[in-house]
Amino acid sequence: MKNLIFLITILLTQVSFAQEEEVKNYKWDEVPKFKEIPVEFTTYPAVVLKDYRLYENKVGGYAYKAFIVKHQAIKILSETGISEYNKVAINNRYIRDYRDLRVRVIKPDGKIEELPKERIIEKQGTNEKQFAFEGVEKGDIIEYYYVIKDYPDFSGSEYFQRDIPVLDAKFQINKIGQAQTYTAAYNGMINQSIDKIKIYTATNIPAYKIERNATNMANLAKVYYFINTSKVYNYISYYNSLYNFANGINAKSMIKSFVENLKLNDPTITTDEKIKIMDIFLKENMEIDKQYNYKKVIETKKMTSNMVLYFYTDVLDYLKIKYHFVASTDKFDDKFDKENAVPEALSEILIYIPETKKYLVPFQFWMPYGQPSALSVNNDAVYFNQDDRQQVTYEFKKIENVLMDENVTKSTSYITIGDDMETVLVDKKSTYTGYLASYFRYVIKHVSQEKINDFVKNNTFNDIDAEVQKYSFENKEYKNNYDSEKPFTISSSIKVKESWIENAGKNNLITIGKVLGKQTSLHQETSRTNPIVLSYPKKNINYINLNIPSGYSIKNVDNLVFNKEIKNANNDIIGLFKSTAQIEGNTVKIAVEEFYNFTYLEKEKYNEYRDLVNALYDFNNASLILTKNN
Amino acid sequence: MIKKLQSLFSFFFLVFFSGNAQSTKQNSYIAEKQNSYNITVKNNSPSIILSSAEKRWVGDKNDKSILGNRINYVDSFEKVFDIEAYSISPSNKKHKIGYIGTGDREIGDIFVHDIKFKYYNFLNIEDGSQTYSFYKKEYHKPQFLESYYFKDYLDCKSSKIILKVSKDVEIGYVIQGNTNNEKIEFAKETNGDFTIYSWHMVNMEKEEKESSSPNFSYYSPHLIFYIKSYKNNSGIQNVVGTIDNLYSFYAQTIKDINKQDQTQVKEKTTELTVGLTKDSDKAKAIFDYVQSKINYVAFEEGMGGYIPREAASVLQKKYGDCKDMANLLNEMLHYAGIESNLAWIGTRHNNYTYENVPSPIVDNHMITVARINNQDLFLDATGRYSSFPNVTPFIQGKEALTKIDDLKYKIISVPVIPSDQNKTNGKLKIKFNSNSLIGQANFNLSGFFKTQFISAYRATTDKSETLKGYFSRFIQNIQTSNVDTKNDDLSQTPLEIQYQFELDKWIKETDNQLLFKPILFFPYSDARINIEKRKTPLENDFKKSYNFEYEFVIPEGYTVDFLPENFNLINDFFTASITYKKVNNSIIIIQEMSMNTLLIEKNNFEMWNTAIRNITKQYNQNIILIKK
Repeated sequence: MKNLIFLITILLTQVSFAQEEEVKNYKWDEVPKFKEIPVEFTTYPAVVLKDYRLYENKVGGYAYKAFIVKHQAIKILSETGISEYNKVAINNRYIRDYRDLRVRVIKPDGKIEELPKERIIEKQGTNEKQFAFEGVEKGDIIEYYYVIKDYPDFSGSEYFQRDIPVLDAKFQINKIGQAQTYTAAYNGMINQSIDKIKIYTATNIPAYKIERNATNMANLAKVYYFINTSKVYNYISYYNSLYNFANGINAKSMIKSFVENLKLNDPTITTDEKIKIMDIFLKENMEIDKQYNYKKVIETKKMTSNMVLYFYTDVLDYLKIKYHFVASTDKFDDKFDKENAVPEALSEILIYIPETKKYLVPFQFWMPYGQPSALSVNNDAVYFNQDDRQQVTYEFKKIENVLMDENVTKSTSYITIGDDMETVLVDKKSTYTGYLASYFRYVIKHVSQEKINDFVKNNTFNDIDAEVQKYSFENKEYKNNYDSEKPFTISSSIKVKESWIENAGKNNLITIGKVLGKQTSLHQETSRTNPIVLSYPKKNINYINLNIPSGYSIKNVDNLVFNKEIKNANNDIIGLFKSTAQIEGNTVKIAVEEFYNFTYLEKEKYNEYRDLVNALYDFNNASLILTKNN
Repeated sequence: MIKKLQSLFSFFFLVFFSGNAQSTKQNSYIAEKQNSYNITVKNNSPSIILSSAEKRWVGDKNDKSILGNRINYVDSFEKVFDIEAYSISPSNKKHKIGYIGTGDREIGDIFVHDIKFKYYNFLNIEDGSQTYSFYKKEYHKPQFLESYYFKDYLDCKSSKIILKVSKDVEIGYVIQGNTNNEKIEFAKETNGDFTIYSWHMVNMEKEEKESSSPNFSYYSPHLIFYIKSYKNNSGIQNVVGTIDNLYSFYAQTIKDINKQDQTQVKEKTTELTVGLTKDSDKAKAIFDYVQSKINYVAFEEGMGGYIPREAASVLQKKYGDCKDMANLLNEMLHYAGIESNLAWIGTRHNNYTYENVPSPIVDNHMITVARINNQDLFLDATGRYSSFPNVTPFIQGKEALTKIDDLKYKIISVPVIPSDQNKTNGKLKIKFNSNSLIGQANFNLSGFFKTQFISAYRATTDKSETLKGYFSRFIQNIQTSNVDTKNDDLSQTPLEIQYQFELDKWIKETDNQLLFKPILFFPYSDARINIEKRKTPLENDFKKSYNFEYEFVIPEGYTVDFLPENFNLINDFFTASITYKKVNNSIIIIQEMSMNTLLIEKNNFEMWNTAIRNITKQYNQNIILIKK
């Protein structure tokens, strides 16, 4: 028995020694040992052998300080790796004291060359230190660590995944006596916490590669940390902070007169209508600006973003309209975590009205009441039921998908070719509903006159070299966000400045699909690491009319006929690019329908997605032959 | 050496730093700015004190670029003092600024420097506020004075510089930049022991940088002034203002370098050149070593921005900046018995000559000039992927102030590399497969083309991705396979890239015809200049040429119905030609083009565009094949 206890003690001691790092008196191994580099990582210019970031906060009594360690070792595998990693500047904190800073180069034969202290540069009048590794050659390991004394940092995030592989990553932070330290880690960071020390480690983290339409940042290995005085920090704690924040200032008389002036207490008006009236008033009369006095927002017509939240909740409370706070992440930046409430990751704060099943988005001034924020569509979220303030409950739900048919861009183009068979003129009318419409309505109020032509060109002809000859907007007033019959409309006339006309003897060709604007090609992007993620479902419809120049005829309209689909497991079409073309009199009439009725597609479906995107590119580059009549 | 370059354009920094607020409100503007210099001799040394004053009108308080001010200075050489600033609201309330901070400029590649700025924010700015800013700056190094740019990042109603110069000081000055259609009023008067010079411009539009603009020094009117000499108790002291004086100053800065033991430098030179007999081979071995083993890390504090570090130290540390690399290279060449010298040079960033601007403002770089086989080689080891003995693109056409000895120097012009030395050659064999083209391509890249490709290729973590980007730069739906690269090194041997490709949907088919564009590479098709919008000249990185030869095998059952006419174009910027020929069962197309200019001034935009239009039209010519 004695032996057993002894053995357990030894094992535990070893485990904790193996995991917990001394921070204040951190030292590197005088004879360094690193993990072997796997063969698949040897093609990178460098590999991170060690990346340790350790925090020790000391708060209480007379202490208010932190010790911080950063220890990094990188193996240089190519000449380009040297210039990329041979310089270090420590300048991102209010450093009170450097307890230790050591820098060395380890040669392939194991010889260690430590940088003398006097070669570390101290910037005058600052706490910054800088150094460059000396004598570095391909095959060397460059290594440094520092221990600094600083003020405690109570919240933050650390990303460990980089554009080169990382073999050994460690994050460590202690718990302090007066508050709890909370952490959450993702994408391969393993929790190895012991008692009062939170530890996360990871080995062999692959290098990341940024992909289009992917949740790149959300997929990286990282750790969040923050402290809170609650003994347990959960979603109720999060709710309490949010509630207290939203109800911090009393402005009852302002709210009362606002409600009365707009007759929002009229019982014959529906909840939907009341919220709409409130929102339209705010967006048409207020400006986001400095404002120190919440009670004066109506009078001064200025409010801060936070005050939009106060105002929404105050009016809803006053009118006794039930609402739920909803919190989610920007799905491209962070995965929603049901286990841990991480305030820094919960960037999408919404107000959900259960009666109408619609949302208010207080921190996006351009968003009308209705759809959730674009970055949270179809993302997991927490919904707080606060009907009983004493007994708030919550549930995790996906924020509903928005309707594709409410996010539609519809364009009709009339193309005329000049008598010179070179000049191409286009009249285009584009109508927008949903997110784009709301965003455009907001943006055009802030675009200067000198940039307005570019706005028109970029949004209706996507990067085409063209001269905007005239333009007009319709239904640009904010209130039209609530009227589906009045989509935001851009009408423009342009003269194309790039070459759409080709020659073939006495005949000509026109690459008519260019009227859609430049399109992406995925022909070269054959492999995929991440699933495809889109912000929200959307549909684009294009009607293209080409006036056939007199003396010419067109025969190959079939060249513009495309049909690519993406189907789900139920065989429903969830993605489509379909074009039809026909000749009516002296006009070529083309109808194009493109939609993405999904926000998430497994990477196994990438080829179907790629084919669809490529079909759009091919349509964009397809041409019609204008045959000169004899 | 880069220090001056940065401080020179200090005020423009705000434009890029502060973001570009867009607004439908009236634009903010500078009502008045004035820099007054008092230049005298005090305590036997030049005393140069600037008093700067500026008044702005605020159009949109949300425009972040006008909310505060930054005053740049080089800590070792300049002192900023007496900063005073306030705003006056439309209702006439005065708000003095509070906190004045000091920051470090973030300057791209420079790792350590002492270029700092004082900054402050105006308080309670409203639309219609006026801001007033004043400061003084003392210059401790009479050689390093700043230029005065009349225009600014906002429209400016009045811009004035005044030099009040004591009789004990002789100055020189020159207006640079494009002054066509600009009116600068100049006045000179004597007042007691002082001569007062002033230059004044009114009602100027804001100055902006556009894509591929050269540096402001090319087009924005500015005054460069310098102290030629001053009189003190010991007599007349020369400063700069003549090339002799400038060289004398430079020579002083390097007289004490290379005092450390250089045994290692010598040994390394011997190791690199052992067995080599020709000077050019030895020079290449040494250059390749410095270029690839010494990493660019710039330490530019104080005179450290001007004096090369010890060659022995640079060799040991394996890093340095341009002057450190130039010095090590120079020392190693000497040990190899090759004639070489250090040379000061202004890159193409600076649009000056020594004759026009005999001041350190002309230079921002250092190279080594070696003389081998009666030829000057301009060796710039900072060009990480340059092939020996090529120059780097950014010093082409510039003057190198080359040391001969402590007193003598020589100004040598770096050649502009002609387009036929920077070449992309492509040979393509193509056949038809249904409505796809299938081909084999063999490419050779030489000169700056090779350098440019290798810089991207070597630096990337994903070489196949880089190659894919290269292949699809003109036609995105091309699909490539069996890629092979050769000579992706720093030799003069052209880089070879071979690949097979398939191009789907390229052919248009009618009842009995196949139509296709035979030209598959479209250099400059997107190079039209928007004449209505563009305000600044356009700079090309280097002169270049392309030569593509296509051989299309005519598919079975078809014959040629139409070949486009041959094309020829020659103007000041381009020579281009395309020839079409049927040879047996193939169509051979030769597409040649060279672009022969580094700078396109505004008055040449139309000519440039006409050439682009004509060339692009040729890219859109189709061949017609008809069923037999």
